[in-house]
Amino acid sequence: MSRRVLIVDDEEDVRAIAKLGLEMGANWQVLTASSGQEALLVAARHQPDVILLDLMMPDLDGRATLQRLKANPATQQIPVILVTAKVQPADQESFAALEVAAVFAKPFRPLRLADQISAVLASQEPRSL
Amino acid sequence: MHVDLVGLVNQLRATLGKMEVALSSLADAIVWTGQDGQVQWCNAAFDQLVNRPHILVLGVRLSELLPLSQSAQALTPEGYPDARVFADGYETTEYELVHSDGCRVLQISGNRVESADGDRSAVLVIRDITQAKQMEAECRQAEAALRRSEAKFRSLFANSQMGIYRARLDDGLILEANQRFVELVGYASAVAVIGKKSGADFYPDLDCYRQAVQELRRYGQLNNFELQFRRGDQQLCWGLFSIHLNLEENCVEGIVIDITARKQTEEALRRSELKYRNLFENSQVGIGRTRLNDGLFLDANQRYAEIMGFSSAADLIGRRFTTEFYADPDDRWRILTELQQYGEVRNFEEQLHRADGSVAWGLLSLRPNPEESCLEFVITDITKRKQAEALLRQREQEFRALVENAPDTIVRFDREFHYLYINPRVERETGVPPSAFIGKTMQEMGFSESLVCLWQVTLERVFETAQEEAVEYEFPYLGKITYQAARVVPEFGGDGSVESVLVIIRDITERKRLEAELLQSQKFLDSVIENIPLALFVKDIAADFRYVLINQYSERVLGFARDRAIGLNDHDLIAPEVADEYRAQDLAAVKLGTVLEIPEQWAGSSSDSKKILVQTWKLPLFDTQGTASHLLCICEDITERKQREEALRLIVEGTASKTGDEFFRSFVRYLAEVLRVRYALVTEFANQAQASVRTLAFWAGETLGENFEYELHGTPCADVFRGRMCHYPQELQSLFFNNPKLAELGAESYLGIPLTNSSGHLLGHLVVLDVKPMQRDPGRELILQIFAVRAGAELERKQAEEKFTKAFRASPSPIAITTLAEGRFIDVNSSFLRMSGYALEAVMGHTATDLNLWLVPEIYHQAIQHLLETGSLHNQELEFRSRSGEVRVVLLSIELIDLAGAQCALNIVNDITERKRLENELISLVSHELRTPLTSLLGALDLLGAGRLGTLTAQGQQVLSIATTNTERLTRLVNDILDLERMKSGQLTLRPVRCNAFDLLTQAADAMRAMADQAQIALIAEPLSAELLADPDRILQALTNLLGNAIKFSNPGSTIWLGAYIHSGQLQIQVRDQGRGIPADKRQAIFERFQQVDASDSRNQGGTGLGLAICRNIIEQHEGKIWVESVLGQGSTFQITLPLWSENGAW
Repeated sequence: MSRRVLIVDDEEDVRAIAKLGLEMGANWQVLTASSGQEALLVAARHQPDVILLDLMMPDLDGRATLQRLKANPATQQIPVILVTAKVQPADQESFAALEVAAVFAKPFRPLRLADQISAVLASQEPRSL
Repeated sequence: MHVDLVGLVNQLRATLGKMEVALSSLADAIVWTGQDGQVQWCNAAFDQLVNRPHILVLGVRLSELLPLSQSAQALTPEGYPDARVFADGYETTEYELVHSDGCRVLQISGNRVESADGDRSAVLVIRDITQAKQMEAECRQAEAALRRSEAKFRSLFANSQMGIYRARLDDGLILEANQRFVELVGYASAVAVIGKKSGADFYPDLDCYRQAVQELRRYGQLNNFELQFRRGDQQLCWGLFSIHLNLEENCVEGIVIDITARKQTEEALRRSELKYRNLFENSQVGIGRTRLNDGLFLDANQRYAEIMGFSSAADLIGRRFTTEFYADPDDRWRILTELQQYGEVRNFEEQLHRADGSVAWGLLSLRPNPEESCLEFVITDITKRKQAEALLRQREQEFRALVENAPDTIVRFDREFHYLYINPRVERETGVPPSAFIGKTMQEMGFSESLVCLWQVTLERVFETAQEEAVEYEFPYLGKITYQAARVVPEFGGDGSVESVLVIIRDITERKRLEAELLQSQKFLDSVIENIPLALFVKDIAADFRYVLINQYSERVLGFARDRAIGLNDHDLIAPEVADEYRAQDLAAVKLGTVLEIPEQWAGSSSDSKKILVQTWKLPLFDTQGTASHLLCICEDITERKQREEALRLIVEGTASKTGDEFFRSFVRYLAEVLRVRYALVTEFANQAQASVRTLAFWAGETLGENFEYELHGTPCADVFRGRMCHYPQELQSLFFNNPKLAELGAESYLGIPLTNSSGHLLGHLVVLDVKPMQRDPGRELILQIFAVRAGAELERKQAEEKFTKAFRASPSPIAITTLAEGRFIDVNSSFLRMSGYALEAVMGHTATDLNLWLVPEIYHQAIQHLLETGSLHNQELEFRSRSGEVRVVLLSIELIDLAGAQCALNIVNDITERKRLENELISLVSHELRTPLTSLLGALDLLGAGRLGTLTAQGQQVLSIATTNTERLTRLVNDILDLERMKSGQLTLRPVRCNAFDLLTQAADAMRAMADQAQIALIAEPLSAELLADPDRILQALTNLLGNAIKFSNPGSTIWLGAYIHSGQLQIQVRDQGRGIPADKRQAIFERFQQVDASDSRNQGGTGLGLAICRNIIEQHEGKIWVESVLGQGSTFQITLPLWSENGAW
């Protein structure tokens, strides 16, 4: 099933790699945003199926962006997957409080990303019924 | 009628048919011929006889069919039986027929038959009688043979040398007997015998007879049965009977041979043999026979068996005894050889093996018997004799050994004073062998004249008086004089007179020497006692404690002259109350039984000026019966020593509780007092150059003087600073005439000593001066030396204290000294005040709790507890709150110090707030800034590797693989660094839960199994169920890390064990490998960051060098321990201990 994914990361290379992986691996449509602000706009406008959100970004960081996404009725239903290098138990505990569908650790395998996202969304869907 | 005829014809035909069948089944051939001789009819038997088909027989002439002959003459046709039947009355005749299978005999009978129509025919019946004829012939032959045989037997019967007879079975009546039998049974002719009964009367031995009859009836015959019989003339004879039972004729047929003569011989032999056997069986010597070639026992008597330890001879017979019979296996061959050589009876004394394995002595008389190929022997038990002999020999040897090895020379003289015997000892004494003495006199042996004379007189006297004597004498021999003592013992002959004299001589030179030495040492001892600077005297306890010995020195102590005191006691000599006191002490010492010490008491003469202080020891001396016989008293004059001790005590007591300047002030004052001098001073170097000194204290006679400083040059002190004690007894000012200070003090004499620290470096000096001359006095010098040591130590302490104080004040690290008991601040440095923001007055005397300095006071209290338990505390991280409320992270180290006798804590604080902040920033930076490019890098490589961006060449793939591997390694490194930094900075906190070691170990092994399999390494997990309070993720991280290392450093085919056990209430986990091992010097270091056994390992094995550091951090956070045990080349065992779960939950 083809999906539309929004990748939010301030690092251009990371965006490019993730985009390539999803396009080549699953032939998904990939949108990108280089900052939190841009992500809010793109998400509201293009209604992606899922948002991959980097945690550490300048200005509006991942947490703040997430808050805004969830606060906006136009985007609050879109599942968000955090992509972060913070994978220590202490960090993970703090993620539990966030409204995210999953947390992916950096570095990730670009070609597996589509499968991983599909798995997360599949587990999400029954709940939305 | 017609009907009847037909019926008749039919009847006839039937009858004819029957007849024909009957005729054809006959065995005899029947033939019907006409007058022309042609066959008209024949039966089947004829067809068979002529061997032709029936059709070819009819109409053929009989002569053509049967070629008959008689007595080998062929018959003419007229001679044929059919022709003869026609010719005349024919009789049955026999003919020969030559047949294809041999000649046959035919019996042919014939009849002429005339039919109603007048035709004549001949009917012949032919019977084959060949078989009957043969039987008849054989019968005749048999009869002839029988006749011949009978004749032969009859002749045999008549002329046999054996008696042959036939008798009736029922009653033994003789039916027939030959001549020999008749003779045998003692009759003249056969007539006299036949008709006699050969029954019970005939055989005197009825039992034997009945047995014979029984056997005969049972077996039908009896062979070679020996039986006695009674002859006609009543003489008894022996016969050897062979009898056959002939039941047909109801008789017995017997043969008998006369064996009387043989029987008689046998009987004679038997008797003789019995006689010998009796002798043999009952002999008191053992008799036996063995087969020569193999030692098989053929015969042995009871005695023999007994000697050899068997219960009966039967046990011996049939057994083989060769070499094992003899105690020495070679004996058999020696004996056989000897016997072969001499071939007659020979005696041997042999040791033989008995049945039970013991050894017996036997006297063997042996005779070879070549005819019977056996060895006959007689044996006498000589064990007892041999034992007695051996005992005698042994005794003899023992005595001989005793005599020959005796430490004494033993000699036997005869009446003419010849040597009869002398033992080998003499050779040691004189160098002459004993044999040289025998038969000679002392004179002949060349002993000195005086010695010979002495011995002649002594020996003569002993021979005369028969009394034992003892002599001692000098023995000059070969220029050496020894001393000898001899016992001279008379030896009596059979008549009671002295036959010889035994002399036992012992060398007593050594004894003599010891006696002399004893005397010498006694003299020496006397001299020592006399000259020793101790009072030493002895009282006789039994004689009311009277003096028996008093040495010279004692006079000072006792206060009376010794010459008049010997033989008197204290009560005779001194005042009664003093004498009573001494007596009480004496008695106490005797009662005590050992040394009684009286530490000090006044003694000496009654005048006070001569009184001295003594230390006394009183010791009872025991005689050989164990009774205290004498009392030894030793007194030491301790007057001077006491004085010195008193001075020292004064100075020590006077200065003990004082330190620093106060100490030195007291010190110089007491020193001057003790040494009885006017001035005393103590100095230290005034500067680095050590050219001048300043006084620390100066006793100026009556009071302490002002401290001053002076140049050493040109003073007596300059000498002291060369490192030795200097003494100027007088005229000091003339020696150092231009020294104004000496002049000012009016100093006349000087004694100075350098002060050094514990390592021998000069610090200053100690001087006493006096205004009068000061004579040399070792006591004074000693006191000064002792004081110098004390002062040096104090000076060293003072200087060190000053140094420390400076360091303390100037230290950039905040330092605080607190009392250990209450934690009150005694002193703090300015850095501490700066950090805390308090003024000195606000801190001193208060505690950290008062000031609310620690954010978490419990951690500080725990640190103090740890300090008390282990003696030190290093780098405990704490949060410190300043007066303004600012919190700073500090590392606290505490040392225990002793300040003026009080236990104090030296708290050294290291402010690491800034460092912490930087560290945290770094972690954050590394975490994000390094991972982000790594994410891109790994992702890019992943995409390249997937081949979606175009196919790579083989080299391209290889390069890509290198890039991927190294990127992954870099990722691990970053992760490990972050882990470690977080742990160290405390960002990484544990989430301990109750978990089971079994699960942890199993999970760790499962996680690493794929890696182990790939490396072809067996991974054996032996998990143990035990409850832990631990962070499972972290423990797993540590275990997988250790297992990963083990796999990396093991060779394929080896094994890795992961196991656990409980030890001392803790869980102990082991990871054991068979790898190359870790050198001893690396076993600590590998747990540090970036430390590997081999620097190339991190590249070769793809490790980061942080794994073990992380493990250690994890384990230590769990209050556990990790270490490694290893043997190079055999493997390593990583050991982890972790606390077990306990109810209170705390580590």
